[in-house]
Amino acid sequence: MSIDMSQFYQVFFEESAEHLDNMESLLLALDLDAPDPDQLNAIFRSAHSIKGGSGTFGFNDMTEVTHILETLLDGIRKNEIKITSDMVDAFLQAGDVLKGLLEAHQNGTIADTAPSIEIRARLAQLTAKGSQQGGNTKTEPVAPAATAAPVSAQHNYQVEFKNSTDIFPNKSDLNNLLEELSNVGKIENQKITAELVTLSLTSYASEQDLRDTFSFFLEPEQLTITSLGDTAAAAENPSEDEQGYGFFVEPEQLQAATEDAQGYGFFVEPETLKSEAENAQGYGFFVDVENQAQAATSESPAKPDETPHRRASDRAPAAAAPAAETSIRVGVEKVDQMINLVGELVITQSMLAEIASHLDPVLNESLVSGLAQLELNTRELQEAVMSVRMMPINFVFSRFPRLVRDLAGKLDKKVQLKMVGEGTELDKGLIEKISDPMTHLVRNSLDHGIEMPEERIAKGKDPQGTITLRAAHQGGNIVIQVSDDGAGLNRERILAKAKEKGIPFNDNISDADVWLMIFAPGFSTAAVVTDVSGRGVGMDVVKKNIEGIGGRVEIASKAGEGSTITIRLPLTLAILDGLSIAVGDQLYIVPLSFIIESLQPNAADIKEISGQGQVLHVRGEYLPIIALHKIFNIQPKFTDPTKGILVLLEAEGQKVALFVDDLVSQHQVVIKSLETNYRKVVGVSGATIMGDGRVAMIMDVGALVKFAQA
Amino acid sequence: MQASETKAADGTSRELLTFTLGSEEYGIDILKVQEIRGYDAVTTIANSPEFIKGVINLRGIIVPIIDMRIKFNLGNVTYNQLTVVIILNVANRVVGMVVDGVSDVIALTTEQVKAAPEFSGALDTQYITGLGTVDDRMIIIVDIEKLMTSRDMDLVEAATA
Repeated sequence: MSIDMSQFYQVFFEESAEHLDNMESLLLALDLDAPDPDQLNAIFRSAHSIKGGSGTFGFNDMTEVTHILETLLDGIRKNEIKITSDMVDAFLQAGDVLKGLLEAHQNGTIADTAPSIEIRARLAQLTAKGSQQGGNTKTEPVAPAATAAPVSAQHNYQVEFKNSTDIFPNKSDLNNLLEELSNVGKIENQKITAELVTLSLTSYASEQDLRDTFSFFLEPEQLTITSLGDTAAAAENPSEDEQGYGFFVEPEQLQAATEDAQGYGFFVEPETLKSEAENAQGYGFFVDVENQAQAATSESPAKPDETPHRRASDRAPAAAAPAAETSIRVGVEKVDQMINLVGELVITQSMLAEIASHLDPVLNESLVSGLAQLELNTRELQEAVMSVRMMPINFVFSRFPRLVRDLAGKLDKKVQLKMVGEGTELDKGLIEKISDPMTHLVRNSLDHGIEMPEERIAKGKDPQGTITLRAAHQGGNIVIQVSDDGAGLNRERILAKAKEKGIPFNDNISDADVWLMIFAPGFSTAAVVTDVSGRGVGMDVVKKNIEGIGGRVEIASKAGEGSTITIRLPLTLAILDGLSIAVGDQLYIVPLSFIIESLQPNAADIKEISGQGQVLHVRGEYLPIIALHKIFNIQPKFTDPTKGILVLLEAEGQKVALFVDDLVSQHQVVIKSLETNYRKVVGVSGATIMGDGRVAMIMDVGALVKFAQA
Repeated sequence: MQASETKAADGTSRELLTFTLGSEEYGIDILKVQEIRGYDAVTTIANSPEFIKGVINLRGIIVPIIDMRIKFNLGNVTYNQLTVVIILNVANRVVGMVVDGVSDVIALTTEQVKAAPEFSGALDTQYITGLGTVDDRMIIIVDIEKLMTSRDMDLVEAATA
């Protein structure tokens, strides 16, 4: 067969990368004192899948590494070798080496062999050490070839089936069947009569496999297969079986047991009635020659229970995994195209709704109801399509346990990482862009925030520091927080540094403003530049990146208690809930997430501040009034705030009252960039197309609030 | 860009779309023209120069509209059913420009194109690739891509201009 294997490479690369990620996260989650067998099995399976795949595609360097890795993992999951943190380190290192190899294959380059040789030596050494220390096991120290050894024993079967012209209209049909059987095993004592065919068969195949072979020709009730037990040769080799499946069976059990590769197998002692057990599974024709007459003993249900259990934990997840994750890989550009098209559809739909709103609803009843249905469907379609792009933030979070572990080790700090709200979903585009800034923040917290254990003890804190990653939806935003319980930001040191850098500041500058200084380019208060952080290139990039995707950064910090950095991001980049407002003959969209309320003020609530403009008194607060027509130089309908509407907005921790002529309505709008064909406009974050086909600007509330401060 | 345009002029002929601004007739490379349409209501952009009329929705794309008559102080600035917008495709951007009228599509041979002399017109000579003569008309050939991406037009971010 000459199949071009390269067409499957991409799938292998993606799957292997997934397996490696999976393995890493499981390794990090592993409790060394009491490792969960399910997790160990899952780790083993990941390694095994990579080995299988790389072997198939001929990536031998990967196969070699995974093979040794797998051998050691296999020992661990069978409790022959006790897992140590040394091993976890080695496994993680092996994972990195495999990632490197995988990348090299993907790019068609040749990987450096040194790390893979090194890790192989390290793993082999750990394997040897591990098996000595766990020498109480029944099996030999895990032999490298063992996993590849054949698994099942040979079985002897007595097969009987009906022969008639109904079943085998042509003689060649029967011959075909016999030929297939001879492919499966060795046929002896073959007797063919007009009604019945009997033969004995010696085969590695399980009974179920045999039945599958017959199922093309015969109805189940026309067939009788009787097991005569296994050949001695197979029974003498229990350790081989253990290597393959990881359960222990006494030879005498194995001898009588029907080996069933489908995972239905019950390992039953000879005296338990097999037919009984098999009956429950629906193989009513199974008759054990020796034990036929024996009645079910009371302990028989208990016995089969035990063994399948071990087996289920071994194999069921592996079998279930591919079935549960029915997914297809689709290129992002296809999804984006879909989102764009749906966006256009939404616009068209609202255009139609706009036109229909001028028609007489009585005369055009069916049209109106049809359009209402269309609106519903469009919205659902839009939500469905948008959800395709949504991914849990765990895709970003999951890289941090490893990062924190490695860094903490390097810095000799004790740190635990807590993650809250990993399931929070956000746009895939945001996920990609948020991961670098977050890495910076976590590194910073670890390096500068969390103190050394001694220092923490001296301060009366738990020697182990905590870094918490939190994600949650809040209004139309995603809020991501990185907090630590470390030393907190040092006001004096930041101010001293600011002075050194020549950054001007007021003497009674507020804490919040001091904290914001750390986002200035080249700003680092770290006493020593380490290879972890402290070069002062991080925070300004963090801020720029986050602002680039429409997000904002806030810092809260308390000396001695730690700091929290909060990132606020829009839920998605493409669609926005907005309120349209009118000023003069222009229409603007204000993102709904910034709006607190809107009101028509009483003259008494509006106060003049000489030279500063007007403020609105609402519920004990004084909010600056921003007249949109002044900012945007438009001829308004009203210049007196009491005649128009004030929309109270909140952004960047500031509240303002925006004075507009009128509120129009609430929309879901598709954000269109102004920059594609034009350029950035101050005070405007984008544009959208309204129901009547006209363009409306989307206001940048953050910039407006800044305007009020200026 | 100018160099490549003149090189193209060395060939046998090139096709130009000609339009009028005031009493002058201009020609631009027809391959830069996406379409010609009437003037629709635009959405103004706050605090933008006066010649940038605003943006329109061109089948789902937001397109800025520039009024060349205001930019170059030519012609009388009125908007009616006869006002014409040339939608250009320059430097991977879609831009619309309002002119007095679109006159013709002409093919000019190399002999018909003369180098532009230094003169002080509404349009800086650096954007003029040559002068063409058809019958008795003189056509000012403009490098529209260079003009639209120039800092004068304020269309693109200063950094990319």
